[in-house]
Amino acid sequence: MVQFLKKCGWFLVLLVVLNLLYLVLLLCFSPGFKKVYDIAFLKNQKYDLLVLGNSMALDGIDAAYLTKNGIKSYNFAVAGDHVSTSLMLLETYLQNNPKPKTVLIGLSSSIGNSYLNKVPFTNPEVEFFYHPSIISNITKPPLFNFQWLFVDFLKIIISKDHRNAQLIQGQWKTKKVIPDGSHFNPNNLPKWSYNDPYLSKIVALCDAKGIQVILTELPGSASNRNALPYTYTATLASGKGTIIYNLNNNDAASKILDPSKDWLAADHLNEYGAEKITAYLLNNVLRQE
Amino acid sequence: MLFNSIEFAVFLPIVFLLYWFVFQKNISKQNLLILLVSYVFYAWWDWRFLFLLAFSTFLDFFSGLKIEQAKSQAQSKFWLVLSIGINLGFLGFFKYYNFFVTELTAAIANAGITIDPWTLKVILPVGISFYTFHGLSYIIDVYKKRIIAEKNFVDYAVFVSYFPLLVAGPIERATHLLPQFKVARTFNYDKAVDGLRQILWGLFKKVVIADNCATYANAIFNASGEHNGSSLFLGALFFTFQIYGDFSGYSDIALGASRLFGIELLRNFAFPYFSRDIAEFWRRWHISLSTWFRDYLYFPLGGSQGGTWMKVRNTFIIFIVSGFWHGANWTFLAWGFLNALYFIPLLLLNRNRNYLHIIPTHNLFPSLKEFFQIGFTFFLTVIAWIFFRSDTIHQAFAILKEIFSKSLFQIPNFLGKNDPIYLMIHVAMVGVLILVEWLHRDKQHGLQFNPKTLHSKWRRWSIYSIIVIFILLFGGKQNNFIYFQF
Repeated sequence: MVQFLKKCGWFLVLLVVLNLLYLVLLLCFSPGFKKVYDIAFLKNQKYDLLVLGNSMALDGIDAAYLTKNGIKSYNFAVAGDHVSTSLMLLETYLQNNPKPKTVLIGLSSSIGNSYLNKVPFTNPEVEFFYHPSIISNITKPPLFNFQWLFVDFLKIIISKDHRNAQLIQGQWKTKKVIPDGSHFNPNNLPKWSYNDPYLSKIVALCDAKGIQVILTELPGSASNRNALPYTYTATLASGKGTIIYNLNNNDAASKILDPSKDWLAADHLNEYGAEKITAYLLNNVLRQE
Repeated sequence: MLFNSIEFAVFLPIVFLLYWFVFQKNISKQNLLILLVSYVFYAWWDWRFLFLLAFSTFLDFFSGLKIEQAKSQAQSKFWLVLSIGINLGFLGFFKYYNFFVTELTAAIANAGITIDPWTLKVILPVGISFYTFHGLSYIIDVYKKRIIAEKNFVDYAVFVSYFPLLVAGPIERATHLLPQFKVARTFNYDKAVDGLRQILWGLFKKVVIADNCATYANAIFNASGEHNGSSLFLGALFFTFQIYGDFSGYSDIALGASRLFGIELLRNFAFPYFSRDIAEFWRRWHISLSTWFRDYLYFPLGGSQGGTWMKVRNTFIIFIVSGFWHGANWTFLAWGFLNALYFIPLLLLNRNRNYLHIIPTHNLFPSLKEFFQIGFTFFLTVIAWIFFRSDTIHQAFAILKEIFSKSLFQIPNFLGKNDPIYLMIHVAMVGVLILVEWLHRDKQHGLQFNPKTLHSKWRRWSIYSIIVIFILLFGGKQNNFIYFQF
């Protein structure tokens, strides 16, 4: 029996060691995981502009371009993020760093409502670094909790495009091109309202700190665009009205983007598309505001 | 409580420690502990159905005593019929009532009469088909004087509700399991370690194979009208591995967990997809149910002792009843019927017992003839699973029509809807399953090592590590076990 219990003990040790090794592997080779680790521990970094959002903002807003043009920026967007996670990232950043002048929130109505979902969910990577918990790491060990990062890791091994992609000032930059062959449907309607309480909390936090907030709908593939005006006023959960810069408006997106060159996947921009959208935002929104 | 849950990962070690360290000196206390934890295990789903389980247990225990004490054959038969009637009554009420009412209403409607049927809105008590069959086998065995009636209620209740097999089998026999609860159990290191390996392999089959294949099978079957023949055939293949991984994985975990307590359960799967004909397949698939029907239905009906007509009739009866046991839907009946059709030619040609042992293990690869036999048998089972998985007979035929059309040779149109790298990983995992089970086809389960060939501790632990990594890294979304619904 003692021998058996020892064997069980060694098996538990094996589980712990395998999970620790996986964390080391991720920290060394997973840019997304490393990014969350880095931003969780940022201290005394002065940025003029922070980008929040999910994978559309992660790929689609070029922080290095903004920095080059005089607005020192960092892209805080994390793939699969919910707006509640963005709030967590922002709050932690503000505790340890000087406030930025502007927070740019990239919204993604074109791919449904995951960012402004009614049921908040926490990004596992963010939760891991921001709310470390032994219980959580036992019930969801890293090998299980970060399954998709291993698949990303495999993609880096087998795909040249993934290998050549880089994380620059938080933006996932890739030259990979997959043309957008979809077509706009003029009957497309906006997919959700803006009354998520966490969005309101971000806006209220920024208002309280004197930080300018810019909300923009990022462009999706042609089939997921809308015919709403380029700017419109949305009502937040707090009742406050706020302007949305609607780059998912088909006319605007069609003028800015080239469907044959600017996409890396459905609804996600490659570095060429990201630079065009960022330049447009810089000239038509940031400098105007 | 699911075997593939954190709750069970906590529950099992606690029960193990109590069983061997606190109650080890007293069999009665060990049995009482097993009974209590089995009820906790069952109540995790829905405590209200504990009353049904307890009632069914008490009924069969009491009927067993009455059958044994009966002064005449008629009295004995009365208690047998009463017990079987009530057991099947509960099963029929919870499992088949809505089906019969709906079908009857439809039949009456065809005659131009509309009635408003009273249908039930109750959930099926988990495991009712399994523990009902436990009880039936006990009662029939007592009646046939194969065993004497159990006098200790706790021991009998443990036999019925023993947690590893309570909700999805294997369907045990009183003659096999009850005696094990009557004697002192001694801890056997080799068996316990082998039990853990079997649990690990069962988890791999459930979490990696079944839960991932389920994603594709569900996507394809739930929108079968949108898919071409090649996609539908792949969907059927995914379901074929899903149901095998799901059910045999469950059985592996049950057998392995039971071995930790010094109790051996009946083997339920013996690498069925390596069968060379359908008769062999049915000796290797859900063995405890097949043998149950053989012993308690096929033999009492006359088995193959009568003429040709009797053989054919009895074969159809057990396959169709077996299909209906799985659920109240015409699709299950069709699945049973189709398997009977597969089986009958072998029976009539007296070739149904050609392959009583697993495909020879002295060769690494099968011969060309064996390869085609295995392939053809596998293909037949894939076709039969289409009926099992479809919601309606109409859907099953529509799928078959599309599969046996030119679109079978088109590029599967479901591919574009899935990330190819995930698909490649999941197909590779099915490859791992086939490879490991092929190499261990003469063993009791996929991770049963031969100490002579795998004596290196490092090699064994490397294999554990790889399986653990596969389970954690490629485990699919947690799903219920398919057989819970039966």
